[in-house]
Amino acid sequence: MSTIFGALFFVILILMGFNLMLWNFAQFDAYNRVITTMGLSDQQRSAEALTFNPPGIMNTGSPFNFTVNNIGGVTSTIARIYVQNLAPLNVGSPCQGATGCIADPNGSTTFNNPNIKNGESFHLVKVTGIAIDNSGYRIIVATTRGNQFSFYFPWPSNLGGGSNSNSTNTAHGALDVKFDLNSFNFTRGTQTVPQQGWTVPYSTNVIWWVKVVNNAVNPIVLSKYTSLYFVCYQDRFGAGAGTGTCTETDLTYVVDNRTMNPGTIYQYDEVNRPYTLPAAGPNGPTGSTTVKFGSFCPGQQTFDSNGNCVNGSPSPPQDVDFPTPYLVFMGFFYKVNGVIVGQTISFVAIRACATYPSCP
Amino acid sequence: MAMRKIGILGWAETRARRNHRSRKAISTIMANLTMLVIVVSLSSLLFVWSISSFGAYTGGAGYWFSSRSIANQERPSVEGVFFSKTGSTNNVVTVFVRNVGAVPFTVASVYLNSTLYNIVLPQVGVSQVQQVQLTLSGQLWVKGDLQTITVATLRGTTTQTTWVP
Repeated sequence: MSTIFGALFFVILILMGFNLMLWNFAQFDAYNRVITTMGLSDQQRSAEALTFNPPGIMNTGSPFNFTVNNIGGVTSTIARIYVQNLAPLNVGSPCQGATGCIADPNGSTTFNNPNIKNGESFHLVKVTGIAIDNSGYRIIVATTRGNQFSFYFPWPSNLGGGSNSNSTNTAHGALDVKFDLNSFNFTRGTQTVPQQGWTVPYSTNVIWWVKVVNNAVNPIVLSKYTSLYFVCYQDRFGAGAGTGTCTETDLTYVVDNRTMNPGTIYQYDEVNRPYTLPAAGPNGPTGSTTVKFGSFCPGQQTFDSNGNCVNGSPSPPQDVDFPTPYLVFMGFFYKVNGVIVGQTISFVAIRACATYPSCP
Repeated sequence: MAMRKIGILGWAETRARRNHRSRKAISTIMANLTMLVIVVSLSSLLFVWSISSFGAYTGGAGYWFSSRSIANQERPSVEGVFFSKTGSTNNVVTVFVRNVGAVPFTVASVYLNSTLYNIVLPQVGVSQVQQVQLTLSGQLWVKGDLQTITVATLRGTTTQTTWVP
């Protein structure tokens, strides 16, 4: 009898143990299902990758457009677009303050085409209800999976495009010189076709031809104070040997683009005939512009008997006076989006030779 | 001598008779019943103990599983932060928290650069966005400086993001 009772209790205990095990399995199963589901969700979230194309926002005002590429592994859906004005000096510009500007699919400020398939490029998104101007903005695109991708407007310069051994960028600003063999030229005498300016005759008036591009999404208007600054240094073993220490600097201002050679210099008129570099497009700079330099004084000025620049005309030509190497600094002053910007482009050197065109 | 032997034998005989009576002990039935009672009582004790232990275990483990399961489905996402001013003071930060998880959650606190800001907000539904406005005290945001924002839910889920005003 006791054996039977004992066996009965033993069976009950075993069944209770099984029950506990089964309960544990069920709990673990449910828990693991949650972990797996959320892990899959996280995996998809980390597979999202959106990039944007220059110039970011393609037009100011409202509505505005931008294009986006889905380089991730899953289709992405834009949940919201946050636009915040970052320009501290532009008080009164849109999208400033605690709420900025928010485009929501369900709001009055909205956007279209929120679904971006993986592999899709230049997917156009139009944002309606937010009018932006040319001041600085950060645009955050938030997806339904919880990722954020952002870009800035105006588009930062020099992020796109590459360079190779024959052409490289010499600046990191809105204005850029594509530094290649044909970007830095000059004319002298009655020449009308420029030649490479890496070696030049010394003590000879020249007009410099410099090819520049505009990386900014706004046009650039050059100031009359845009100039080339030449700093000579002694060449003890070359053409400048025996000339002593060179202490000369030369400042050569921008001239009108009608100027072909130093024989006839057209003064630079920044009001009526300025150099205007067109704004960059979605694929980078819009062509290049050749800017000419050759005046001793800026703008519509000549110089008096003391060598000081005064109002008058015509602009006197400029040269370099020693047969030595010169470091050339390009000081570009320009207006972009109404703001005056100064930018130095260095890394150019020339040699002025006494025996030009032979310049050993 | 003879009298003495007789006395010892008599005593031995008496003891033997007595011992023979005591070897009868309890009957087989009584023995079985006794063992049955012992087994039943001990088994009952074991049963009660195991029931309470299993109950306690399943209660604790069940709570852990269910709470962790729910907490694991929380996914708060800080998808936008606006830095603004009161007058000329850089002391307002507006945080937008989206629920990209599978269950609703409640934002319990927001940390800006490790400074706690306790807030009371309604629950954020799935796929919904909640706006949290912080008025800074003891610190100001600085343009260009990295600002670390941590959002914590009532269930203990945290998400940390960095922003530059």
